Amino acid sequence: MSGKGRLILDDIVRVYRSGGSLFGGKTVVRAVDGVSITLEPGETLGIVGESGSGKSTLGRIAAGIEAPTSGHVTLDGKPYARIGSAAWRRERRGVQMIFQNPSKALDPRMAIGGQIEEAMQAHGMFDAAGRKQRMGEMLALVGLPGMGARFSHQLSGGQQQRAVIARALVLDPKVVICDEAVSALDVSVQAQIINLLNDLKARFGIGYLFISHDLGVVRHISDRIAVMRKGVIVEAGPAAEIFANPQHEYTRSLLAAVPAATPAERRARERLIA
Amino acid sequence: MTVLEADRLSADSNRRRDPISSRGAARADTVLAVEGLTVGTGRADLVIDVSLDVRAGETLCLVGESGCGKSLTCLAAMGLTSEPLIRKSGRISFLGQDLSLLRENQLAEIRGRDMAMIFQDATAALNPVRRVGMQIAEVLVVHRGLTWSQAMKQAVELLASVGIPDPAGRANAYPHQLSGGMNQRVMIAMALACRPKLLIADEATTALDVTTQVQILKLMKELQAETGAAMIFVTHDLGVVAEIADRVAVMYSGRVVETATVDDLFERPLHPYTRGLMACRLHATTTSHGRIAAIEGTVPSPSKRPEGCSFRPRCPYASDECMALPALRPIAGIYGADQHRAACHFAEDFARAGS
Ligand SMILES: Nc1ncnc2c1ncn2[C@@H]1O[C@H](COP(=O)(O)OP(=O)(O)OP(=O)(O)O)[C@@H](O)[C@H]1O
Ligand SMILES: Nc1ncnc2c1ncn2[C@@H]1O[C@H](COP(=O)(O)OP(=O)(O)OP(=O)(O)O)[C@@H](O)[C@H]1O
Ligand code: SF4
Ligand SMILES: [Mg+2]
Ligand SMILES: [Mg+2]
Repeated sequence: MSGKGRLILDDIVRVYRSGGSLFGGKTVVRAVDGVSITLEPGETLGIVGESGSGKSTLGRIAAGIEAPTSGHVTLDGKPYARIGSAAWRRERRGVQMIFQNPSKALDPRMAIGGQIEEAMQAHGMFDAAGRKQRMGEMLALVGLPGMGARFSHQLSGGQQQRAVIARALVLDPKVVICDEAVSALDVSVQAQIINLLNDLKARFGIGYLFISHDLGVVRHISDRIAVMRKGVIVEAGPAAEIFANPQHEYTRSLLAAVPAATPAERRARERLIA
Repeated sequence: MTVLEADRLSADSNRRRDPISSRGAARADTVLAVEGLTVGTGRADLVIDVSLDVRAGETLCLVGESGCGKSLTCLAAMGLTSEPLIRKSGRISFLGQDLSLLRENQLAEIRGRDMAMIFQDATAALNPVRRVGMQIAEVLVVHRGLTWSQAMKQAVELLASVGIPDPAGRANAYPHQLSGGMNQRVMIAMALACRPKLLIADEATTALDVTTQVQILKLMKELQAETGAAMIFVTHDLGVVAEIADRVAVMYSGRVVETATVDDLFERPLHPYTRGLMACRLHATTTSHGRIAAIEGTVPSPSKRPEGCSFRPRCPYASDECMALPALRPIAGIYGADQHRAACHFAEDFARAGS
């Protein structure tokens, strides 16, 4: 890792408290418990880990849409402005987040094309005609050609996910936080989107924080990988190394649980266990 | 404690008699049969002439390109299509009973008790202003006849069985306070709590890490072995298909283009779209570099499908014959001939070449 780093998260902690003891017990969750990561321009850092281990929380903090309980985030050396301020809103163009739940990330009352144009307008990009053209191009790139007039309820799960991807990428961000961004896509469309992300990375030096449970995708797309469990990073390193030579027991258990590639492989494994 | 053990503890005497299972089905063990289903809007057909069936204890996986109609097929099978979507034709029978002959309140009763669906977007499907423990408990009270105190206790046990840490504490949480994968597991717990005869899971494990996924798939299979439930699993994860499916149906642009037993599909995919899918897989066991193989082009819009085979513009084997719509038909081969169906003019040739 070189010294500077485009996006730096330093000793991030996020604690959630919730009361209410209908079922007994008050809950304090240390969702993120002292995580430090650095993302270089043009780098993809894959984040894998247990469901509930704090990946989305870390992603929201990295994107600057949620404040950490303690710790610091800087993008190109500058800390994020106060959440909700005008400066903060301007900053958001540089760091975009593709959310895990696409249907909630889209505005149900506006066609997706309008939402993409509105995002560009908010950051003063192009004139109206230019925005319309760019919107059309972006939708075509994610495999939704001519679908700008659709509302989110008229789209399938994977189409909603791609609309969110288009809205994030159209702003030419420096960093994109991808939270299970391709998990609702069949393998062919998934391949097209991954190729698109990699093209943009090569051309514009975009950095990706790529959260995914799909180890095949993560292995292919990541330069480095961090493995999370219970709010901490238990292991991090170059992608090939993590897969070839996992150090932490949890990483090993993850790799052992990868689904079989074929039914024949599954049976062979079952015979081995039996 | 597992779901199964927790369930045995629950008061069996409270379970109500089941009115429909006594009526004969066309094939004794067919749970759901969809025949010639077409669903669309005024402008386009989104699901076209789809026929599927699933038997007790069987798992059918539904795979296919994003937007090809998998979720709509499932929703229609549960009688959940609503404006502007309309069921234009087709028959859906559940345990031998034609669902279109039922009134909405009868349908709702069956849906809650005998059919369960795990929706693609769990966080959006759960009620945002109710604690997840109460949402599970409610299912147990309404459909299983437990008392609230029994139900709340069992809801906590169900949360534990799907691997939620601190289940008593987390039962108090609202959906926005849980992670994406936890909400998926809440939905799975609710669905299993009903002990349905038909379980439809639409991308139900997309947010689960592989170790949790293994546990959840195992739990579902255990429950299936015990209750004989029929399962339909919509998933794009071909690894999950290899793990859980007995049979697979592949959809493309609104139609079923291939069905086969899971072994046959992996060993001998016949439809060029299925072959393309298999070639796009990324494996966790190998390192790959550069661009990933993808099927070139995009699915046609439902209102602008090409004439003949919908896959034609993207198909490496397309020729003049493909201007005519290929029928989904049994493909003669060495084994599983009557089970393996494909909708491609050249499927017989592919079968011969591969054998
Ligand atoms: N209300 C609607 N009006 C118009 N088109 C619709 C509507 N609802 C769904 N569609 C279209 O119907 C098609 C099938 O949608 P469906 O949700 O069944 O796809 P899917 O196979 O589940 O895809 P995914 O894998 O992306 O979830 C899609 O092309 C979608 O855009
Ligand atoms: N707003 C909130 N209030 C209370 N707890 C929260 C809140 N948001 C997240 N949590 C808790 O923080 C922990 C981490 O959640 P997070 O969504 O970051 O996990 P994740 O790694 O993304 O999991 P998944 O893979 O299932 O999406 C979980 O225990 C979750 O319940
Ligand atoms: S019918 Fe023709 S176009 Fe369609 S899949 Fe077969 S070869 Fe390809
Ligand atoms: Mg998450
Ligand atoms: Mg769907």
